[in-house]
Amino acid sequence: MPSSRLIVTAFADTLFPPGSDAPAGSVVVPDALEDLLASMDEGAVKQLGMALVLFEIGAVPLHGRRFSKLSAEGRERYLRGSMRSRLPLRRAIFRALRGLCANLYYADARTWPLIGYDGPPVVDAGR
Amino acid sequence: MSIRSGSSVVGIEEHDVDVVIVGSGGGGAPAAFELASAGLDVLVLEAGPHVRPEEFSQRPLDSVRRTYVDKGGQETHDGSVLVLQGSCVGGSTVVNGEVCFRIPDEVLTEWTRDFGIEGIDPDTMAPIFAEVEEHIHATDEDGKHLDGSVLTMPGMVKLGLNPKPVKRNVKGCRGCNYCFFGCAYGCKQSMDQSYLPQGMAEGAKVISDARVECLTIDGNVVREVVARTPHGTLKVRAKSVVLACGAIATPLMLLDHQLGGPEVGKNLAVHPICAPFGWYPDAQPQRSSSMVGAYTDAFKEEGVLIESVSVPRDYLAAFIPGIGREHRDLARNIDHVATMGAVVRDTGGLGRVARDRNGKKRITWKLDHATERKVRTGMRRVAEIHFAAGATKVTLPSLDVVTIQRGESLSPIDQLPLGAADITFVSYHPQGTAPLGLVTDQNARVKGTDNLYVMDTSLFPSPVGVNTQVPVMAIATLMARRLADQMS
Repeated sequence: MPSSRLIVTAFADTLFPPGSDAPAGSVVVPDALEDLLASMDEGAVKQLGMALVLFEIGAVPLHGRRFSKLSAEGRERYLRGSMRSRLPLRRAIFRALRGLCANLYYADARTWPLIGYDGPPVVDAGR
Repeated sequence: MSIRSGSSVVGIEEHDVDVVIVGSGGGGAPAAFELASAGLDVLVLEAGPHVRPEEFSQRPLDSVRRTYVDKGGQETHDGSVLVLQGSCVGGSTVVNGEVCFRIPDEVLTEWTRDFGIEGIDPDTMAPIFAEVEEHIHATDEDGKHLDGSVLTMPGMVKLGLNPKPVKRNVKGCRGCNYCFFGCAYGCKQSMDQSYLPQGMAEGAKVISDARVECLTIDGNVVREVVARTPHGTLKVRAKSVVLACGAIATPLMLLDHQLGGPEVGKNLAVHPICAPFGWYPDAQPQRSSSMVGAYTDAFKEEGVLIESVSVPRDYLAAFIPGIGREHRDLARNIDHVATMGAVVRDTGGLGRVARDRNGKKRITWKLDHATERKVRTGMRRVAEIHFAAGATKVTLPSLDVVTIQRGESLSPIDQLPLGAADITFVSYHPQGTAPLGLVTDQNARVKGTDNLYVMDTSLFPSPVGVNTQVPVMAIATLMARRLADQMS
């Protein structure tokens, strides 16, 4: 089984592919996640690891390969399928991973040019 | 006099007080003030840290990790509702949108009529609400930051919905709109800025970072409360014990000690909030705004309250739907998004707080037909307001991109799947898990006990239908006064 980091990297890049005005998900998310995991309790870390493994192997019956081994197009198809799945667990796992990755991604100042965000005003408030 | 950190507790430290209050949020803080004002010796134990205004960085993720329950990850077991609560001195009042509504008269009447609750009628409660509003400086004059509603309010006006600015508990608000992540300027009159210092002036003491793990029970009497601190243990003997840990942790505390009977943890209501986005190509939202601006209660009969919401864009961006290029193309236009939240008054008792087989917290909540209808009505009303206000399209709060263009039928709202993890329901208002008259007696005393009380949103017999901070402060005030009367 590939490491959690590898799965997260593939997921983040599918969610946020490299673009001209924003970094790819893999540039931002895996490091931020590692940082987050360091502050989480063991149970939560385990649960996330399990969600990643389920997501990874869930691609096998549908696309014949694990998620991280799929092409970029295959990964995107698999993500879309998870988002629209009839299976609540598959949707829930996708939703949790997406929420986590999206929050970590947009918390990084390197993504702010994309959304025209100048950063927290408190810094300029003379504090 | 200041709030003491539990970190300063080394080894076992014992206290003997009149009343120990577990939790320092919208329930515990007013209770502390009232009981201390009555001359009682009061100690408040707060599980979370004391985060001062100057420590808030306006970085949403940092703040959520530091001040929210489960680092912001508390959700129902099937992922259908994200249940957000503060876990810090001041509780959820530190990270809310400062919205101040009284419990509607018809809800108070319902509590009397349908649940047999005494002494809680509109006439009795009106002066208490007025006192609460004074304590926390609830006003619609200071918060002149309606810029975030500048796009949506004309839509409400056009549809004859009589929008009004919400009352907010602020002093000198600058309209930075980081309210959910703690007020970095100390303008928000959350419990740590209002009721707690007011209670401390009356002699109440507050200790942060003190997580109550155990109640020592002797027959019908709770003798002692035991709290874990970073380096030690607090043992507090008290004549009365007040649980004010919120509608999730309070029932868990009761369940863990087999107190309160079979109804504990049932009857959970969440007020699911959903927020279809309006996209306004010609208008640029202002960058200065209060988080919640204008509201309309025109749909009260339909169980829906609509509030204009404006959040920092690094937080908002994560809620933009879609994946890949489709998501990025939308995110790039985030400047054109305006948001309104439909706060839905769900049917009481759709949810439950319990322990699973491994002893872990398990929150469940399931839509019924009536609530589903309200949710779809809420989304429909929000979409109608967006279009009346000039939005060219509306996207629904799903993971996938579901777009309704201006002039198109709103039927995608009726077809949108609302099962587990289909859409993003957020709850800021969990309530109802130890209801008055059911788990407690009329005076909030837990049935089967002589001296254990509940004073938080767990007490609400049915959902209040509005933001819960003023309602909980008022109910806690009422119950704390009754307790003070009994004890003196």
